[in-house]
Amino acid sequence: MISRRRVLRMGGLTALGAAVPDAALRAFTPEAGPVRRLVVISHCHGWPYEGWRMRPAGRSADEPWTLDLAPLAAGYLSRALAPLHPHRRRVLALDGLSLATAELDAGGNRHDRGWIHAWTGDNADFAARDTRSVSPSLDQVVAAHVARPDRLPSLELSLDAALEAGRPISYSLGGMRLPAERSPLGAWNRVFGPASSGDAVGRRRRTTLDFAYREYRELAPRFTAGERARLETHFGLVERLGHRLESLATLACEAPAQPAAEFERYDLGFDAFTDVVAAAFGCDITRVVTLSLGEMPTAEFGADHISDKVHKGIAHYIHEDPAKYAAMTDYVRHHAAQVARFVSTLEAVPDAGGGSIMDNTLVVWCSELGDGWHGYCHYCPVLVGGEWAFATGRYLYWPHETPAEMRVPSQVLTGGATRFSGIPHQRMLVSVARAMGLDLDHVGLKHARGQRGDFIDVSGPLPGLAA
Amino acid sequence: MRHGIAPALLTAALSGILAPAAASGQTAPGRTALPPDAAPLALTPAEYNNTVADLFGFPRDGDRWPARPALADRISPRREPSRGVFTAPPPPPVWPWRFPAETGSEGFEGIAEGQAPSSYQVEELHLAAMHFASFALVSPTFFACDGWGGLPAAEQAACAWASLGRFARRAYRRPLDPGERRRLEAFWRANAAAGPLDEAVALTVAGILQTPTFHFRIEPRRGPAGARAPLSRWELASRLSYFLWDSMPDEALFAAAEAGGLDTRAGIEAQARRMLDDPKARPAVVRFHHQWLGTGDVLLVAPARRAFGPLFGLDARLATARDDDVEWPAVMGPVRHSMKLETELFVEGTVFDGAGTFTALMTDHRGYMSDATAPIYGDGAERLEGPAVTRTIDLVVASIGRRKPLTLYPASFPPGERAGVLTLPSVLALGAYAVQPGPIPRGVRVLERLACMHLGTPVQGAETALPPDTLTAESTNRERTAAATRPGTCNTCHRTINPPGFAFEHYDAIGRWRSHDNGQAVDASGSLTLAGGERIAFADGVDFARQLAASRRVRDCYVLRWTGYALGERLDAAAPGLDALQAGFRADDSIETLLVSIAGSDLFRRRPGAGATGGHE
Repeated sequence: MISRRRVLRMGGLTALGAAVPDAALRAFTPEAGPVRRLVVISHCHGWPYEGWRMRPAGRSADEPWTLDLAPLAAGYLSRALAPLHPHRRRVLALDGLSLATAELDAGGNRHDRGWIHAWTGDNADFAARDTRSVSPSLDQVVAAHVARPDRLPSLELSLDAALEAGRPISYSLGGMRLPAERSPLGAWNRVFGPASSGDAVGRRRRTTLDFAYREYRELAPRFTAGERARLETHFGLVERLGHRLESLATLACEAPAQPAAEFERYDLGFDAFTDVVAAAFGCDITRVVTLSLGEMPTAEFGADHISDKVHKGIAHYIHEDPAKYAAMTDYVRHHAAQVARFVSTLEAVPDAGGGSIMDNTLVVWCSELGDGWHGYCHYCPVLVGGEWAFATGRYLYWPHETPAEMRVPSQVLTGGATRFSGIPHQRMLVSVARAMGLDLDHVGLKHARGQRGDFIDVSGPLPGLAA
Repeated sequence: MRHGIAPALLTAALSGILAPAAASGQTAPGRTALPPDAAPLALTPAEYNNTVADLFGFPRDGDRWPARPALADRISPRREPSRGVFTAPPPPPVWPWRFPAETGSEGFEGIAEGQAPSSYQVEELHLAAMHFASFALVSPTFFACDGWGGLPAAEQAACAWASLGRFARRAYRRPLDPGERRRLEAFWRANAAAGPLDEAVALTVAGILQTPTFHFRIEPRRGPAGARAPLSRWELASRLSYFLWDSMPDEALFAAAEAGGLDTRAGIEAQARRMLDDPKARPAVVRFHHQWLGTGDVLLVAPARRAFGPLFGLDARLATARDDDVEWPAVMGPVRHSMKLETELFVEGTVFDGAGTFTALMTDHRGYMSDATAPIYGDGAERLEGPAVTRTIDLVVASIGRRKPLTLYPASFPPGERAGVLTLPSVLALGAYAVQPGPIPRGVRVLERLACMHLGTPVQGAETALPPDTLTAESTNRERTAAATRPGTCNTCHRTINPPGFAFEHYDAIGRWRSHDNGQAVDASGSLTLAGGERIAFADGVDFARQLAASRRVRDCYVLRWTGYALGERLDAAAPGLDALQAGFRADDSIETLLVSIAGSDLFRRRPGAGATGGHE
């Protein structure tokens, strides 16, 4: 096997050190500070805005304002957000964003457009066999920066129930959908199971990297310094890939109990995923996780008397039937309760440098759509954690002033379109990326054009989030 | 133009501040000198995929490859097909592998400075090697014996090793030296000792596909620094095949190399002519032109329904706000694919089946169209005799991936409306916003890509000054663009950038010819001075294209682009020998002759020396 020690012995480090980008080398060095982690949780069908939003008395709808959540009693949070009350000091609820660029993107199913824009900040590519992204998703951008070179760069999970699967929200740097582990057992196997613990074929697969690397070392003396620099960079990365596979295969870490193959209830599946993530974080096996939440059975949130399908039975009709609007509020509330349990679980795991895992984790909870009607107008992210970068414990409101027309139902607004949108959500993605240590001014698009031709800048972070 | 492609194109569009030297016409084509110590070239994604197909003897069409062997699931990391959300998409083809695109250099892949490696790319190369390695077992060309699977174990092992040795020679594109052969054999024996022979074969192949000798075009420098030293026969064979085929040499080229057939200019030119007659040259030449024009991105153009829906028989807006728009993607998917295929068929037809000249490439008013793009070409288009071409296209409509046939047929367009590549709807739609054409990106495309003029960085916030992309206004698009770029800080450069863009104001954002814009007759006239001092005054886009076809600056730039592409270097305009190629092309006009001349040139047959020794003669 390729080993780090061997590279040192062969004198490869100097050349490798000269050629490998700084960020890659830095990842080899134990961090001086705490390890930062990112979790993306994405549910289907957005939020029924009236059930999610908060409107304390005396606040204008025309001016930005901030509400301090810390002193609020449980009953003061909106119905959808209420389950997060125990964690309110970690919460940033963002009211005033839109998936404006998804509205401006031409063509395509609004779900697909939504999840591509939501997580990549860029347009969708529909000219292929499968919807693709133009840019990588936020989790992959962050993973490329924070991942340990000897561990899993990221872990993609999808909680699939009997109905619709979790949306494909994770896109590689090449724009490809990343496959997700679709059961807690699959995730456990990937993180702690035989695939990562030195099975025979896995070991032999690593020998192919070893062979290629050895061939390079044999050839290297024939090259000039300039030629060698390029190849050193490439084969330094080959060496690191072998090192990662080897490291994962020999990792000593206390694995949690193996989860069941199937779960009777959606909530139990969610909690089993949570346990795998907490253990993976505890062992520093990965630092970036995406959890895409497929359609939840209606019985889980008490709406089975309305329909047995969230999507086609309830979500589409929220603006026509108040009972369905209320049911979708309960649906989001139930997801909020899952997020709250997720945070509690991470809070119970001590981190290596003191405090809990959650103290060094940022959870971004969003959706693919603004609402179940396929609207993009009100996009309602909730950030939990990330206190090292954000002044948390707040609800922030911004009026809709961006010159992009957003489709809304005629029951909401005559004519079926607003004249303005909320702040394009890309700026939230930038804020998250910066919190994770990236020096970016945009994620995905930099700018767009509204339907009336206005220039819309979608770069830069959201105002007022920083600690 | 949609903003999905804006990061590249809008940046180009907005890089409309000409460097002072360029503005004064002093900028030479090519900005930097030849790197004194250029890096080895990695196979580009297309080259990798083509090479793998040729190595295993499979066609360059994933639908005609055999199914992924069961062994692949034993030795490859699991990569589950997407289940889809509402319905499973068609399974991805087993070939090609979708690698991340190269950073590129001036729009071209396969140039050393645009090939920065990344950990992601290395991981993809590993996954691709593991994926393709299993296909050795079902390859029609891999085994050196018949019926390998049914042989006794000892014979299986012997045949496998013989096959691997032959495979490695082709994968390395040269004979193995004794050390390489020894190490390969040790690797094979270790694999054979550790598990079943089929796994051992596949793992050994996977190792070969990750070596530097396979993945890089290794041409170690030798000879004194500052002088260009000859390439070895094997290196030259590889350089030639990746230049003209985007793939590895075939057996005839290997044989010619071994027999010394590439030792002379005449010998290599004869091989180049043979290779240009081979069908593999066609996609390679087309690919160059996609990169030259930037039309590889045309599948991402997104003209707005509110502007162009009625052209395709749809209402400009949805009937009700609640409807999901499945109609427009169903229209635009085939339109975009047709635009791309029309570009490819036009280039291929012109270079290989038509006049074969640069003049024709820039001025021919004949091309291809489909029912999807017929509304763009309008009533003036006339279908010509000749074989139709049917291709299968992919698109996603209503969240469901679909595969559809698309038939294109040869057509003639009014000579006053169409002239060569610059009036192809692909080029025009890429130089446009969702509603209005983009004179600035169109002008930048001409100046940078065709005239090798280098534009500086736009002033901060320049993009915010662009006119609104609206359906209605009180003036023409030209007037609005001129007004937006009139301030002194803009006009310094836009007086050069705007005219070549305004030349195409007869074409709307989807590439349809128009006589009027916003109720006023289109004015597409103008004049500009190219770097080097050539002045061109034109009446419209067709006139402009014809003059560009005859421009010394533009022809020299085309030769520079091709030569740099052939060498994988960002070539300096003053590179020795380039002027002779340019002079020949100015006189001859034949693209095939140009490519043969490049192959036979000293520039191509030699590479810079650096005092190092080594390599494989």
